[in-house]
Formats: sequence, C-alpha cells, structure tokens
Amino acid sequence: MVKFEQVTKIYPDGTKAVDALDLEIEKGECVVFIGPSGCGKTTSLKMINRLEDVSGGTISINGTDITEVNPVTLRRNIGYVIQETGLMPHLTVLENIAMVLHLQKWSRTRIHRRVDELLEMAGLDPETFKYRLPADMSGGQRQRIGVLRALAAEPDVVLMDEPFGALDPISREHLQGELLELQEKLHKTIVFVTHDIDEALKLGDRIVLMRGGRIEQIGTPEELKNTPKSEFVRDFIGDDQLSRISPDASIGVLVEEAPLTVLPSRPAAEVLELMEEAGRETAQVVDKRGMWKGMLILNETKQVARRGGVADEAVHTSRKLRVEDATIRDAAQMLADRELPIPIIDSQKKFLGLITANGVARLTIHRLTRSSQAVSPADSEQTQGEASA
Amino acid sequence: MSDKSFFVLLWEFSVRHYDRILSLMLEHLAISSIALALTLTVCIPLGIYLTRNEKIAPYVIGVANVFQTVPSLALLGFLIFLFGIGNDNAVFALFLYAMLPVLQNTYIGIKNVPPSLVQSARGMGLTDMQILSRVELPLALPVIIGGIRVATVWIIGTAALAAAIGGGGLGRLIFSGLTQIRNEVIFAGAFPATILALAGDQGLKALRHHLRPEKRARRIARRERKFYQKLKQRQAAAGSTD
Repeated sequence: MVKFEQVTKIYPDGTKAVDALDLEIEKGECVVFIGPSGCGKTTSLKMINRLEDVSGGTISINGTDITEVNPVTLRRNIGYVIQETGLMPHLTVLENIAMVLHLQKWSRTRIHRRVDELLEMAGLDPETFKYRLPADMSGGQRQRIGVLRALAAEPDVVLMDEPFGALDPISREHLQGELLELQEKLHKTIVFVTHDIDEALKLGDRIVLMRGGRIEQIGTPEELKNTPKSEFVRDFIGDDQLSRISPDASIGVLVEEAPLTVLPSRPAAEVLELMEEAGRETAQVVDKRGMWKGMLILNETKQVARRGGVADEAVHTSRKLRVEDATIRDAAQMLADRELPIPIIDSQKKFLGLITANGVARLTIHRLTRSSQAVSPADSEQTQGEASA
Repeated sequence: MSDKSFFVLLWEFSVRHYDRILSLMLEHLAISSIALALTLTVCIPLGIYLTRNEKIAPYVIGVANVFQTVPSLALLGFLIFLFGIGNDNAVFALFLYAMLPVLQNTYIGIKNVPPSLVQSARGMGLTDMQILSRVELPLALPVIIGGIRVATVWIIGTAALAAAIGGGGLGRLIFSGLTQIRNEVIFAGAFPATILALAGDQGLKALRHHLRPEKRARRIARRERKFYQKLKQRQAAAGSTD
C-alpha cells in the first residue's frame, strides 16, 4: 500500500532527518512510528502526503510514485489528523468535516448525509453537533471531529500525527478505544505517529521504533516487548512507561492524608514527643481554619523545644507545591532532591495533604502493571483485524 | 466683523452656501475614497505577499512607517515635485500616509493565523489560494479591517490638507475661513469633515463586528440548518408517498 524505498530526508541546513528508510505498509494495517524527539518519525509521515519533500529514494502508494502525482490531488486522497486538531475556528463542525468534500464539489444534500453518517459513527448526535463551533466543544470532542474530517472523503490512507497528544489521559484512552473500534469496521491503512509507547502498543499492528533517522526495530507490539533487538529498544519501552506517568498530570492523584498535623500554638516539646512516638521525621502545622502554616522537621523542632518555643516558631515554609499548577514531574524532582514529604496546598494556602516518595513509587508500579495488561486486548484485536481482512 | 453671533452666522452661511458645502463634501469623500481604494488595492496584496517573503517584510513596513512619520503637510509639499499641485498629489500623499496601518495589519493578521491550521489545511489538499481565501483571510479579517479603520480616519482627516496644495474638499472652506478670519466658514468645513470621519469609523466598526469569524459561522450554521430541515421534510414527504 505505502512503500518507502531508501527514503532519505536532508534539511537545507544539512541535518539528516531520515536516513535510507525502507518500509512497506500493508493495506488495512495500522503502523505506529515512535521514537525520541528528532528521530524522524513526523518527517517520515509528512513525506507521505508531501508536506515534506523527499530528498532521496521513493515513496509509492499503490505502486505509484507520489512525486508523479500533483501534491494537492495526492493530499485530497489521504486523510490527515494533527495534534492541535487543526479544526477551523471560524467554521462549524459541518463545514469543518465537509471541507474536503466541498473541494471535491459534493452536493449540499450529499454532504449533509455524509456528515450525519460520520457523526453517528463516532457516537455524536448530528442534530446537536453539526452546527457547533470548535470553541463550544471539549478537547476530546474536537479531536473526534478532527478524525472524522480525515475520514470524510473515504481515503484509503490516513495519517495521524500525535492526534491524541494534547488530550487529558482519560479522553486519550477513550479516543484510542474508539479509533480501534472504527478501524475494525473500516480497515484503513493508518500511519500513526506518537511519542507515547503505551499508545503505540495499544494501537499499532506494527510499531516502527526510530532513532536518529533510522529504524531501530520494526515489529508487532509483542515482538518489541519480548524480543527487543537492542538495549535502546528495551530502554525505550521501559523508560517511556515510566515517564508517561508524570509529565502533564496534576499532582492531585498523589495527595495522601498527613499522618501528623499540629496547631501553631502547640509547644514544640509536645510536638517532638508526638513525632518520636509516631516515628515521623516531619509534621505539618495547620491552624484551626485548615490553613497551612509550615512543615516541622525533627532536628530543628528539637532545638526549638529546648528553648521552650511553640510549633509555629520552627516551621519551614519553602518546601510546598500548589495543587493547581504543580505536575507529578515537579513532585518527583523535589523528592529526588530530598526525600522528605512535600506538603500540598491550594492557592488559598489551605492544607490538602502530602506527597511522599512511597506514593510516587506506588503509582509507578500501578501504571507499569496496568500498561503491560493493556497490551493483550490490543493483540487480540489485531488478530481479529487480520482474520476479517 | 459683524456683531451677529457665531451660530447665526453659521446658519446664514450654511443656508446660502449649502450646495457648495455639499459639493465640497462629496469631493472630500471622493478624494478620500480614491486614496483609500488605492491603499487597499496596493497594501492588502502587498501585506499578503510579505507573509510569503518574510525577509523583506521589515524593510517594506519600515518604508511605510517612514511615510507615516513624515508630517502630512510636508509630504504634500514634497510631492509637488512629482505631481504638481492639485488632487492627484493629494490622493497620492494620502495613499502613502495611510499605507502603514493596512499593510501592517494585513501582515500581522495573517501571520497570527495558527500555523497548525494552515498545515492541516494544506494536508487536506487545499491549494495555496484556497488556504488564503478559506482559512487565512477569514481569520485575519477582523485585524485587517481594524487597520482599514485607522487608515480611513487618517485619510478623511488629512484630506482637509489637500486644499493647501490646490486640491479640493472641505479643506477649502477651512483654509478660506482661516484667511478671512471667519469662524463660521471654518466650522462649515470642519464639521462635515468630522462627521465623515466618524461615520467611516463607525461603519467599519460595524462591518468588523459583522465579519467576526464566529458570527459568520453562526450565520452559515443557520442557513445550513434551514436547508437540512427542508431536506428532512422532503425525505419525509417522499417516504410517505412510497
């Protein structure tokens, strides 16, 4: 269906983005390109619809060299979905989906029918959504429309460039599931680019792992997991599962109840006793209204206790994260620097709880086990897809 | 000097010379319109061209900025060497003077269209012209009209100076009022000029509001919804006859 032969891309500044790429994508197959940023995965995708020119080698679709086709004609027969959805803010859902159909001079009646059909396929009520503007929809809904737009003119090949990358984890999982369902019905040839290994493992019939413009390994998700060709492949699959947990997620999920909170006026000596009794190195000072006053650390509390001071005099206020703007990555970095728990407050300084190194470790283990389980249903769907194809 | 009050003088002058005021007003409008039309035909395409050739953009916009900075009366003076005295000179000077806002806003308006939209349009198979007409211009329109609005007010205001170099328009009244020290004559020129400028400004403000992308989309949505309902009715009618 789509065939790369010795495809090379060299940018004018001399960087070799893609180096002698050989790949044959079968009809009805979903191939996922993945790799670290700058590995050439997006460039490879964009060369298929000629948004990037090929510097050397040939790409052919159904045996026709793509450079022999007018790029505009070529693109109209290839669906294209990008991360930022690319929905036109000045057009309704109807017009957005119908953009390519308008170019192909479909009649108004036929366009309405097709758009209704597509919306129903995605489980969106046509009457409700047809006349909405992108600004009036959620990110997940917008991206569904983006996918529908790519499918509107019934292209055989659909290119998806990190289509779900900007969505929150829940919407992302929903859309991945819906894409799998659609694919089961439609059997499009999909070229999918992602940096999320879980997504690749879930959606790809085959995964192309790239590095420095070259293919590191091609294989089914199973093959990549079980027989990684190199240390890099192993690391990439492992690493990304770890890093996937953090980047944009809010710390909210990690907050746990603080085992020891004291009032600011409590004598330090008493607090010290409580801490030693509970075997805690830290305690949180919270006033009657639930406002956070600071954190106590064992050694310093001892000094204040010797002077006969109160809890409020020994507090640390610099170590904290605000739940509204901190990510799990911030928390993990703070914990890596110093293993003490991190107090979490909101913008009003209300005390919400703690994040501990243990909590982060638990989440990591949870996500790792969950993502390895997620591979099996994807595999079974792949076999179903092959059976019916 | 007479001892009649200013308003009485103004009234008498207006009644006696209303046809002259009206024709000068039309002339003023004509000079301004021609200058504005010239500005738009040159600057909008030029602004679009600059978004495609960004390297030269700062220089071209810089030149437009120079014209805008030269005092308008001085600019008219310079142009006497080229066009002599009269309305041609005035129109050309007004054009140079008003280039900047239209050029700059066209350039910025199109530059501010998110690259992701342009890329997705290109990826869908829109030609460069279609990308311009269906994506970039509709989205940049409010900004472009904002520039036109500024240019319009400048042109109408500055057109009064055309009279200083032998051109026509309401400036005639203002200048002749100044030389005769007759306030009512100055006012008979200044007031209509102000009205013209305000009307142009408000008209373009309304136009900009009307052409806001979301507003346009909602209009189209209403039309399509009507069409769809008719379609359904027709289908229902056809279904019942089967």
